[in-house]
Amino acid sequence: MKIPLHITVNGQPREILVEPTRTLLETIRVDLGLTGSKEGCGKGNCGACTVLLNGMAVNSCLVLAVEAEGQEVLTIEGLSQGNRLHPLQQAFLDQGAVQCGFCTPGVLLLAKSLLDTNPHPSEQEIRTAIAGNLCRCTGYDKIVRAIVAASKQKVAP
Amino acid sequence: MSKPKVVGQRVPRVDVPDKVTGRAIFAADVAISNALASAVLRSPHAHAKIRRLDVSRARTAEGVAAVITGQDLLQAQGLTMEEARRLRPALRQHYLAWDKVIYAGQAVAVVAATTQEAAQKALGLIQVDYELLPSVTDVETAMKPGAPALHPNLAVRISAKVEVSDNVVMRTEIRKGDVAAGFAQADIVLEETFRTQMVHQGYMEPHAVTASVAADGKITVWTTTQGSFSIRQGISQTLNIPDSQLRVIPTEVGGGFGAKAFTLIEPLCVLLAQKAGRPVKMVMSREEEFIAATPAPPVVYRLKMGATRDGRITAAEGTAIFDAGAFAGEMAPSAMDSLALYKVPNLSLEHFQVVTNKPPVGAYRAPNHPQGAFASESMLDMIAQSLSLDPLELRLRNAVQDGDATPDGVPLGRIGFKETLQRIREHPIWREKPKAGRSRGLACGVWTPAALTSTAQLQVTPDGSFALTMGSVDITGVRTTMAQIVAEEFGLDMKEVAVTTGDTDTAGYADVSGGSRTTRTTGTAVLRACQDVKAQLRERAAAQLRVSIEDLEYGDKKFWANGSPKTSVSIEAIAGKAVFGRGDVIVGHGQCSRLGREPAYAVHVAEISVDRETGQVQVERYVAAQDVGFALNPTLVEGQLQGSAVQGIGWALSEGYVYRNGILQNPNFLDYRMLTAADLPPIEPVLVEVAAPDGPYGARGVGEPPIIPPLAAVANAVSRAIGIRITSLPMTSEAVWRALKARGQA
Repeated sequence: MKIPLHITVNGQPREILVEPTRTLLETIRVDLGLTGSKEGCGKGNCGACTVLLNGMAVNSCLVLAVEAEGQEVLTIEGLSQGNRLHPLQQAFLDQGAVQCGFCTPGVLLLAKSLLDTNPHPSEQEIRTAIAGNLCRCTGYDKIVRAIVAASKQKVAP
Repeated sequence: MSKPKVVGQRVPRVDVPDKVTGRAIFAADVAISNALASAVLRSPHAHAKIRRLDVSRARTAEGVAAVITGQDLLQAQGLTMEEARRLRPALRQHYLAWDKVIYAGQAVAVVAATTQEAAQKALGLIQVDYELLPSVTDVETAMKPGAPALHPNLAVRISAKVEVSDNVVMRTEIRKGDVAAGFAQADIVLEETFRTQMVHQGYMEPHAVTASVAADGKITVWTTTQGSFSIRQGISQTLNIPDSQLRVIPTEVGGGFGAKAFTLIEPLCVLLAQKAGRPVKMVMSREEEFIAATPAPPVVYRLKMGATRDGRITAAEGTAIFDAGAFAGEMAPSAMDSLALYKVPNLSLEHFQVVTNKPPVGAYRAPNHPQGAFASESMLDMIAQSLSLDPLELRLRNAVQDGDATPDGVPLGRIGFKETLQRIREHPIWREKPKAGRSRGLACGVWTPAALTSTAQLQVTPDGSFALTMGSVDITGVRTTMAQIVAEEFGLDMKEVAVTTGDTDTAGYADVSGGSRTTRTTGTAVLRACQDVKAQLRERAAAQLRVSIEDLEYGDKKFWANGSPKTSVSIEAIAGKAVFGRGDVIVGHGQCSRLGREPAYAVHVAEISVDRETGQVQVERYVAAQDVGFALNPTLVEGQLQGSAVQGIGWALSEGYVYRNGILQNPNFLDYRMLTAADLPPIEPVLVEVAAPDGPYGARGVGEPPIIPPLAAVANAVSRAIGIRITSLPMTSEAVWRALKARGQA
């Protein structure tokens, strides 16, 4: 039996019916068609599905959709303001922090949650914060540099 | 060439705006309406005969649209099982077993159903009667006479120095000079056996494919691949479908590293779509990726090397046993490549390829080279230690240089090995003493890319913009670097060049993007397409200006006659004539299938510390130097060096398949430990540019070399830190702690 779910996704209130077994990731990708969030392992080990739930980074593959009832979800599709990239997105582009791009949405959202609580993290703090987000292409170096660069930017109003 | 303006610059990748905003479409994001979901039944056993396979209950289950088994695959080939056994025992059962399972995880049946849940449920209704057979997962046991035979029908007698089992599917030998005489000249002779483990490429995106069959039978396939034409060929050969009936559309690729070069689940998806009469989507889970994709082979490599007191290598002799997994690999394994770094006057190498009850191995970045270099570069370090020589000086003394021959007798052109070693010698990481409690290790690697084939088509659009179409899939920024070449050649902004990876129906043929060949070969094809377009434009400009072609000058997208810049004709004016038939379209073609062998050399230094209580190895500092020939885009080249080095460091320290009774114990990212950002220091890339005699602007292959040295670089550092030579990977804290304990040091 499907259950009604009320969530705000990227600022838009949504009301949909979901199976009680549906994960938040499936709901985002399949029911809402927002395929920017990726499934890399389905077990919370890789961070590719990271979204912000009420501002907190979660592995959306480990959250049931119904658990998000009444909450606010931010996915990668909601990070930029229209066509203006978020400073983190711009820094990832400028610093060469993106290769295949599969881990990128998750890392960006994790980085946002980090900078929201710690606007000027040290390199070690960044490395610790993104330790749950696996990347196989970059060796993390340019990702770390990009987050440092973004932290030095004035955050857009 | 005048000073380049666009190539050699840190141009942002053209694909990244879509990747940072979640717009990029990867294979699992492809949503074709009415598509069915699917699930695969996989063997729980490492080795068993399939006595009976009954899918009848699954076929009639709710929501199920089609079920396929190995029988269907044989039928597509026009073979009965009896004929297949007799005529085509080598027919790969990796897609789908038809009479026997040879590793745990091998596909036995595939279901397509209206929902994922229905497909999964139907798997439980399939009945398989297995007759269990003894299994073997390590090569040394597998090659002994009397070992469980994986392919009894396939056995080829291998003449070797020792008696071996039928699981030895290939033996090769390389000989040069007189090894006995070489060892007689040596002041020291060292011998050691080195072991590397089975590792996974670890791409973040699991395999995913959608297949759709049109009413007229024409098939369209969307897949994540390094080569759409390779996928077309794999499907075509497996299912007997002509190329004209197959269109393969490559999506964005979430990492491949060799594992997405060839077909894996694509033929199954097509077969299901044909049977079901509806589109079918297949997405592999992470567990399936571990147990049923194509990991990299473990190698047992016994190596003996002799050197004179002053550090000249006199001879090398070795036996390398490559674990092919369930089926004989397509690539001839060779341990020779790592010795090709040095002048080794006397050489004898024997290679075995042995099948075991594990998934079949596949390509992983610089296939087989890291395993070989782990042995030979560790051995060089042992020689340096024995002779109290600086390991870098030892390498300089033996390094090959321009004009030397490779072990198989091919003379080397202009190479940058010594230049790369010199750069490390001058680098602080080598010049300065390591901090207290830290040790350093050095190792080298070489990769020689094959050219393979690429094509490019370049069109000038009516407003004077450029549109480049190629068949090469973009896995490392190919669209960006190829657009840079066009922009460079015509003096354009990047925005004036549209660049597309076409599909198999719209683009010219291209081999896979891999093996550090794409920038060189596709880049050469693009340069040739540029030349073709230039020639057409000049001819038209000369006619319009009524001057000879030789008198033309070019700049700012305009042509003019020598000395009269005021009367010019623009590219736009020439190309715009195509509209409504006022002139021909300017479209140029380029292709490349032959290039010189231009090896690329990497020299890495790892600085590490070891916690003697826990055995934990911490990489504190890492420098990766490489002769890249010419960096078309330094940011992208650095990214290759850094990512590749980290894959190698993971291979050295933490990754590895763990088997027990033929079953993989760690098919997930928690227990198969890839390195995280918190495990690593910054990786410092050092780009050395010794231009290759051919290849665009002197560029060399870049992606493969940097995964070759890290295994030995880290091991050499660890050995120097604890005074114990580690010969087996991975160097987990447990392994290092055990080594220390065995010496009474922990």
